[in-house]
Amino acid sequence: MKKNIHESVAGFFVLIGIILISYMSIKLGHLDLFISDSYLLYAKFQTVNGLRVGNPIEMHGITIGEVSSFSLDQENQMAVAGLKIDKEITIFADAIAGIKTAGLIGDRFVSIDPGGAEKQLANGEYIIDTVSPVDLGELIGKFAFGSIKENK
Amino acid sequence: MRYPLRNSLLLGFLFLFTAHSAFAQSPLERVREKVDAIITIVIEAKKKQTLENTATREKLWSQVDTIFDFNTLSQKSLSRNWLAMNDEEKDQFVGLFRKLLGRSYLKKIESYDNENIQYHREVFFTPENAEVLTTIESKGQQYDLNYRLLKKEGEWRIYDVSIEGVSLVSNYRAQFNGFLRKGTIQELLGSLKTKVEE
Repeated sequence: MKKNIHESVAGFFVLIGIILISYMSIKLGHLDLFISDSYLLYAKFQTVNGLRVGNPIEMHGITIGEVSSFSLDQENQMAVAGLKIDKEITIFADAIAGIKTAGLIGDRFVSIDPGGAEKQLANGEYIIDTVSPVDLGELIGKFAFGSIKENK
Repeated sequence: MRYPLRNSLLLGFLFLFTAHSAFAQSPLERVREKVDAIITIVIEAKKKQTLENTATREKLWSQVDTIFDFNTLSQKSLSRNWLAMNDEEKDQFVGLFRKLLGRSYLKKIESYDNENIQYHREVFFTPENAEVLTTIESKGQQYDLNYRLLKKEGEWRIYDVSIEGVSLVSNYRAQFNGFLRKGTIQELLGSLKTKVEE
């Protein structure tokens, strides 16, 4: 009898351990097993250079979601970013999405201006007005080469 | 002319066909045609020193009005503030914004000095929304200049221009939103008016 109780207690702790480990892996792996509290919008860019899955989506500087996937639109030669956005945030059809850089060489994030003059966007729809990012290195290059040429 | 009827019919068909294809232009062809037309007017006027004439001005403005969609441009720039405006204010705003943007656009075009414009490709976001990608080469530097177009009544019109990744609508939306957070629509119209009259 006593042996049985000891084994049950040990089993109980092992069970708690397993539950904790699976909870942690789900949280750390950004998996949505349960009801999703966000919806998905898409945006096409010329390039998503530097943007990674999991990078934040911001509106007025506040994080409202994260980048969830990338795919290619081969017909138009564009990159399509999937944007997971919190359910309580409404975004309208005239929204503008842009890829920005935090600081001078910091991480990339998606900045959204929600718009408001047209209809509300639903799950799976596209943000049509997008601003593709500027390659800072390219700009510096242009500036440098330009100034050299002008000095000639 | 052995078959006058047949020939004239053929000619008629040919004319119809070209007229039709002009109507069903692609966004890229449309931008190229209009930009070329405006540049041609500017070059000719420069040769004859008639750039400041009212006739030249009118010609340029009529081209600008057929390629830019100032209504959509105003609506997108104001976004949610657009809904708060009545029809009279909207009309007034579109008129002032058209003058302001058209004038700065023409000013840029008038300084055209044989810059090389390359038309790369067009990208469709929806069947009615496209982007035309171009670069301009000036003094050895290349600038990306992209046009956003919307198809309205079968005709492609520009509603946004982005230079080096900076969008005109996005830029003005931030400015107007900032202004209207503190000021009223009447004040915005007033400040646009003084800007146009400058």
